[in-house]
Amino acid sequence: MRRLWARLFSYLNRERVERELVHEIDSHIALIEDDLISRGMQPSEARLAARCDFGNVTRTREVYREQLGLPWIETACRDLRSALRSMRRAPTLTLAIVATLALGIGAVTAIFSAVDQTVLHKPFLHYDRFAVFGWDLRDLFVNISYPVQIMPCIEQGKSFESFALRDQDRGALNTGTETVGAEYASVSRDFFSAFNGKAVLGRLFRPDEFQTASASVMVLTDNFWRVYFGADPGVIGRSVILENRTYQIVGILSPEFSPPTPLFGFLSDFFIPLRLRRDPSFLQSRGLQAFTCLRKGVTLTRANSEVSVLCDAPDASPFLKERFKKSPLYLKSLSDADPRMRFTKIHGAFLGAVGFLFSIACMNGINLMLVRLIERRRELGIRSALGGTRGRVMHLIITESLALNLLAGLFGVILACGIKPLIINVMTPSIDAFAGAGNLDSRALLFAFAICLLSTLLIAIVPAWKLSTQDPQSMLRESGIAFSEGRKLLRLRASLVVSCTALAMVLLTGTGLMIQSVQKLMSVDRGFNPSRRIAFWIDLPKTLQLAKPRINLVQRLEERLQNFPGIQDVTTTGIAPLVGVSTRGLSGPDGSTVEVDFNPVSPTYFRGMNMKLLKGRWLPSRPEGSHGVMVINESMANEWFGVEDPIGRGIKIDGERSWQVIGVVSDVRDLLRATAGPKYYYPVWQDSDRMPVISLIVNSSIKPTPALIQSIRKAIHDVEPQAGVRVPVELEEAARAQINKERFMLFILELISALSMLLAVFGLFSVMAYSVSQRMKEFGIRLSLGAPAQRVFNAVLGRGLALGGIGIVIGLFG
Amino acid sequence: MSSENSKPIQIFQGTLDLIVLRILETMGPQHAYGIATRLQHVSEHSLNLNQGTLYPALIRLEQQGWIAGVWRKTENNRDAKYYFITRAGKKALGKETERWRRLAGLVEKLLLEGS
Repeated sequence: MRRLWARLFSYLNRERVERELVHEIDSHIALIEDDLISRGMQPSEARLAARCDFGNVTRTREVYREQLGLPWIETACRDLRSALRSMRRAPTLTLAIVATLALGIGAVTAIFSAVDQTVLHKPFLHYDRFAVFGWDLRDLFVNISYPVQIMPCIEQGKSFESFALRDQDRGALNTGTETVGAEYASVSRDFFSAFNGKAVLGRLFRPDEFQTASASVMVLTDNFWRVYFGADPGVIGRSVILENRTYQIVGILSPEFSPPTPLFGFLSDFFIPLRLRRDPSFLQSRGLQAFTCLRKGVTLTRANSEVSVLCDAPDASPFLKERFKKSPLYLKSLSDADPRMRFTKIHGAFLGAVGFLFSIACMNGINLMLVRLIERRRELGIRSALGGTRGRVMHLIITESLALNLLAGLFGVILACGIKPLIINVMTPSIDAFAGAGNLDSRALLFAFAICLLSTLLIAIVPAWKLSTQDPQSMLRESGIAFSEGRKLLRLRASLVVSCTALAMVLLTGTGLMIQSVQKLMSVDRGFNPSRRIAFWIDLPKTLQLAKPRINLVQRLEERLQNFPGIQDVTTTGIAPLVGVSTRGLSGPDGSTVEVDFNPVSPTYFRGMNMKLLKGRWLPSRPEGSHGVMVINESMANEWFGVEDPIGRGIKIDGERSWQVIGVVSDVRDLLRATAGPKYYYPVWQDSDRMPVISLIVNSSIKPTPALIQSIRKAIHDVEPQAGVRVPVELEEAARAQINKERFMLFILELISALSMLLAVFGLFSVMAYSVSQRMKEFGIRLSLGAPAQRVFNAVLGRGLALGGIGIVIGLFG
Repeated sequence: MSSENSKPIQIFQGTLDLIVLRILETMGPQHAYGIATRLQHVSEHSLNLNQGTLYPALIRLEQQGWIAGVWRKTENNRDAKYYFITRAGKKALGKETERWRRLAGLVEKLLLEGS
């Protein structure tokens, strides 16, 4: 403590202390001199001998200084000053280094931040510990379970910390001014706390509201509130009508609230409380999504073994037992099950690419730094000859590197601020970027600082090591570049350039492969042509769900829109392909109940969607007799009937009525990653009380404009004011959205490889430019001795090409 | 600073502090050269002590308040910084000597045991 004070004191008085030290050393040498003279030495000799005896004055002062004052700050300040001085002296080189590093740091930071806030963004705490209950349906994980299965886990399970249940539903909501179709969810008590839901206005549900059946309260999402209520704060306490029941709006969720997306990607517009009950109708009837946060330290395997014991519900209905016999319920970690996060496998490759870009920038930085130090070889030689220790010189180099990197980091962050919104803009709204994602957050700044330090070290280490192996004498002696050392350095620098080119080549090749696979994904034949088709999802109120009013409505809508300007074709289905699917139990070929996708369609559907008829005939345009008919798809024909002819066969619906197969059509691929499964189509008038929604699919003759979409919406409202029309989905857009993340990654990879190519070329340029400037004298001699200019030119060009070529070859085969 | 027969001994940090304190206690105020000369004399030139070691020790002791320095004239009428031991320094010397003896005794004992 006392020493610290003394140090601080002498630091503040450092000039006086320094003067005193010089004085003391002088007197010390004088005393030695006196002594030597008194022993009979000549004064002139004695002077020299005294100096020799004392040793290195500078070194002594240096060591003394380290004891004195606060040497760390002092030397750092001095080194910084010297660094800035030498940077000013060679502005071009400084600019080159800073530009290279700024590009590297900026690009890496922007890309890191963009990916961090979108693909890697963890929307809520303990994301890694969350799992969801579900089962396998063909290639698809269906995250739907039944309360009867989950209840034992909730009541007795030991692996689970909390449960969050969501019952997804849709309906027409009367906001007081209009009827809108909306997606909503009943959620259990811990849902909001599990997924970090907070109210920005009003409140969330009270515990007692999950107990009583009479509580009719509702919480809106920020987006829904903005679109349909104009972000009116006075909406709290207002009453709205959902399915003939009045609800009171009690709160608005914050825009960051982002629970796991439901199976088919519908995000809820608002939430109501889910009351867990013990009566059989609740336990058996509703499929819901059950999320659970596992206890700390509990593995998924352990939790699953508990699930397999507890979920084997003996009191489940025969229907459920049948359904889960083939594929029992199990837990899947949310990071695997959530479609948003399905990207984890590419993260590695992606981080690799960013790493490559960064190393290319660093290699260029090392290269330029070496040039700097070669230029300053004499100065550094003098420094070490005058008693600068190796550590001190290293300190100097590191400080200089730090100064350069911090400067580069500053520009890099500015650059990143510019690049990042660009990256986000290119891909939104297709990726889940939340509000403010365009800005650099504190994580990004921290990241930028960290990579600044990393590149500081990387850039300083090689030159510092190179220097410390050099003899100060040789550094002093050589005025030009030393022959052997120069060769070695040149070779080192050339190898750095070759590695840069090689890395850039690897990146380019990788990007090429990615382009190929994305293109393959984009050109997958989906069995119909989604281009220029828009799906209008219409939620029907109860009165319109019955057969007669529904057929009537479909006819009126199709008639109205058929002759609408800008529309080529219009057809109706239940849920449009690419938007969602609905499944239903059929009696399979072996008598067991099987879930099969279905779509009730209007007779124009087949033509409207450009599907291929493989066998039999398409659905009739009006009812023929009393028996039901259906058209099945190719997969269903193959799976159910094999080589037999399915035409004319009967299939039992819900174990009762039998419908006759009258045709086979080609498959439609809804999900890019899952193969098409069995599916059947039936006329919209047949069994129509099943579906509370219809979807109009409009084929526009021109590229759909917002004005056209708006006028179609209005036309639908004119035909049926009670119809809840949702925001329409452009099917082509929906198709593309399925590979959004791949496309986003592709875009980033393209960006990275373009930048790395740029940096590699820049590195090659700097090496060539420097070696040419070093060999100017040699070229002059060659030319004056009669070498044709062409040959000199060829020699330089040849070297450049050779370096680039070696890099490309290594990159291609490495 | 050479020695005829043996390699110079490297000196531990801390030990030097003790020696300097002891010299100042027995010989009275001394300048740095005087301390260095005395050290060489006592050690019969077997101590490799350069000024790069002595000066840091002096500044260290001064910062601890164990010695203090004043500028005076030498016999030859030269200015020199004379160091003298303070009261705190004397106390510290007592403690340090005790500690050193215990350490040396311990090392000695260990070495004897081994043989």
